Amino acid sequence: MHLVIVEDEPLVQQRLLRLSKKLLGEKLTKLVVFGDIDEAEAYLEDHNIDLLLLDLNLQGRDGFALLKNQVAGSYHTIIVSAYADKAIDAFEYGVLDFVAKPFTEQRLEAAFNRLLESRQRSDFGCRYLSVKIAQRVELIQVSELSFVRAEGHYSELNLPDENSKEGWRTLLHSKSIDKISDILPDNFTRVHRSYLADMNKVKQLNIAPGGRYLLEMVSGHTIPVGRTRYKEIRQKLDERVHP
Amino acid sequence: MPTKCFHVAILLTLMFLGAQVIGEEGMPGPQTLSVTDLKVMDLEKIRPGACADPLTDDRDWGWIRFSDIPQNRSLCLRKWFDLQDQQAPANPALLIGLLASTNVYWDGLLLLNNGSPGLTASEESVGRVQTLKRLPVASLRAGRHLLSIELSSYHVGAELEGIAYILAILDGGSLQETILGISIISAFLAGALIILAIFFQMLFSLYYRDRSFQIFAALCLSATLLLLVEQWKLWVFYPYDWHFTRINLILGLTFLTSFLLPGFYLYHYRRLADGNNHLSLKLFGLLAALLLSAWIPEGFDRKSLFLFATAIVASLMQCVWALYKQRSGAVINVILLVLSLICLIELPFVFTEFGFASMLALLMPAMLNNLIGELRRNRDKALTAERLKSELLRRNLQPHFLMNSLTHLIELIEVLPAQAVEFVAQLADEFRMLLRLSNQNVITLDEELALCRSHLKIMSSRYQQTYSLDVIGSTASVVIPSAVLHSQIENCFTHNRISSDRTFELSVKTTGERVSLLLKTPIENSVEHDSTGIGDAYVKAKLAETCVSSWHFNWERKEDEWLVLIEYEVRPELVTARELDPCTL
Repeated sequence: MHLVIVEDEPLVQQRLLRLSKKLLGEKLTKLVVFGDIDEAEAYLEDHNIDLLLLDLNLQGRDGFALLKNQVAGSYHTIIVSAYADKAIDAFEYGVLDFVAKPFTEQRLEAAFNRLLESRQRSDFGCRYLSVKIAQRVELIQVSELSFVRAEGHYSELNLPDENSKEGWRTLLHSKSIDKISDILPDNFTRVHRSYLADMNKVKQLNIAPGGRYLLEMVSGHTIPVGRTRYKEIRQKLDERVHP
Repeated sequence: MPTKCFHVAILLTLMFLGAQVIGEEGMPGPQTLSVTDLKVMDLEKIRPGACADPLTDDRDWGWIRFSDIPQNRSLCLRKWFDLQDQQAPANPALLIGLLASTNVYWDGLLLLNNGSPGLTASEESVGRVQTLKRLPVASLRAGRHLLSIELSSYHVGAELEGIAYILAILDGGSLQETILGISIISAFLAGALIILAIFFQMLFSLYYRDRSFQIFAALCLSATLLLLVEQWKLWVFYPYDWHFTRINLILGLTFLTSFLLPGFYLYHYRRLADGNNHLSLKLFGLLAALLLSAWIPEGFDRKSLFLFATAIVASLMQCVWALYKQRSGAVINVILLVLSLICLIELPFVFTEFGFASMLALLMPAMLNNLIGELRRNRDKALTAERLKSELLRRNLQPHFLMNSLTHLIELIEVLPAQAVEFVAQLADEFRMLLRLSNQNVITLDEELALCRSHLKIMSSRYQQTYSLDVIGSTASVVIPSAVLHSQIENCFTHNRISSDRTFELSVKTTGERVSLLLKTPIENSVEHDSTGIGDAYVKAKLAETCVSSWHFNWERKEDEWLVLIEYEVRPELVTARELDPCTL
């Protein structure tokens, strides 16, 4: 695992470093430490990292503007901050976890486990996804999102757009479909190796010739359903109709 | 604003009605025979009994105006009436207001004895100041009638302008009604004024020791006494040799009341001036003006008028100034004082008769309005002070300070326990200091610097740097609103990461009581931050609460330094209170 720590107080920095080494052991392939996010920026641009442990002053707008940039990245972000009252806001922006200061070894371990034992969702599904479009970062409302398709190491977000001809648009997110799945709310289900769909926006489940299963979305799109996942999807859709 | 207009409208109505009532009471009714000119003769020049006798030939006697009757004389006065039918009132009564002892005869028959007139002072036995006697209706039938009065006036006690006030045949019933009406108004005013006097005195003694409350209480009391002494003549027909004492008492009370009204406004608006408002000088000026008003004019009534006029003008000056300074309630005071002044000029003797009392009653809502406003401001001030106090503590219990310090501590405990112990002691030091200082508005600069250094020590430990604070200039006997510099130093760390050993610098300059502080704190962030944080709001609120109004608080960035300039003068009473407060010793 390639880990980056951003923390300005020397002893807290030392603590994160010490505990990370201890907890991750051999899983840790590289560890880099920065005093503040500005210094880390260039490194994050040039390197493909797995996890960012970020101390951010979340008081006021500036903190969240910085956070918005980080969560658009391909890596997961765990906030380590004294501003515990901002935890829910941070989750809404799509952080994997929020570790309130002061923190114990056990708490940091739990945070790492979210990443290591994958598919363990964050406490709260995010409400926004940050997407880098050209040089800008745009916040997408998760409630608008219909489904996500894997696109190599990236993900393609599908959502309605009144301004486009098809009434539809796609955006490319730097995170893999696995990572996006970690932070999206419960109503998003992995229906296929390459697809993640909002169960509330499914019209019906169809069986196509050749025994393939297809999900017909409210938007008119059809997406494939994995053979092994069919049962689970069927059940979720039934629960939706008969709660 | 609409409420204010409403108040003014009510007051104007009251004032108008008041003037109407007073105006009517002062005028004699239509069914009244006033006597102005009489025949006069020295008592000693005619035989005893001749004055009353209708047969006595008075054709050679001289004439005298009733109001010109001299004192220290014994005289016979005669007046012939030619009465027509229906000319007399329904319940005829003879009203005499005269500083003399009298025997009064109607058509030669004795009507009343008021004391007993004599040819010398020792022979005279003193009568009442006023007499009212019912006349038999039969005595007023159509025809020629004789009113004759034997009088002596040796006991007036001092040279007065005139000793005769009224001689009239009027309707006894309507006179009683008039007296009842005036009495009700007087009793109402006196009751209201006494309640106010008690209320404000208790407010002063038990709640808030603002001198203007006590002055207002004294003003109400003095106005009540003035009203009662003034109206005494309606209720008690006292011996006429007391009259001089009574009008002296009235003059004295008028003087006192005239001093207290502007005195109240002087105290009430004493904080309008930024610096010294020369209160004692103004009081002295007022006293001098009142003494001149009491000394220069001739006659008691005119002295009273001049005193009232001086008091109203002096009060008006204060209120106009307050209006200029945009004090709430000043406009109502100005309007009422102007109206009172007009009333005094237009109906001078009605004004002296009812005195200040009615004017005060009209001014009262305005004054209460002012005082309640002041109470409200005091309450708000107390709330602000309470809020500032808790904010000071809350800011230091906030995540960025407490939680980060604890995170630092938790690492020390696991790795460097000895340093952890030291750090806990430093934290405890700062919190203890903050707790103590949050109870004080104003502290010495040295105490403030100790607090700042304690904070720098903690931050030095946390960032593993050495931050220090240098002071240029003398800090001796300089006072400062608590935690003002501390908040600025704290701000510096909230917005800034200082990654090398840096020195903070404070320059202290004092000019008299005015203090000028220049604090230089380091900046290392390249990012521009908005500096209007909680710390700045705290400093502004604190300066406004504790300093005279001309304080300044500015900041600017100069290369890698943040310059904060604070200029202030702590309100003198807070400095004194601090010295007296045993908690600070």
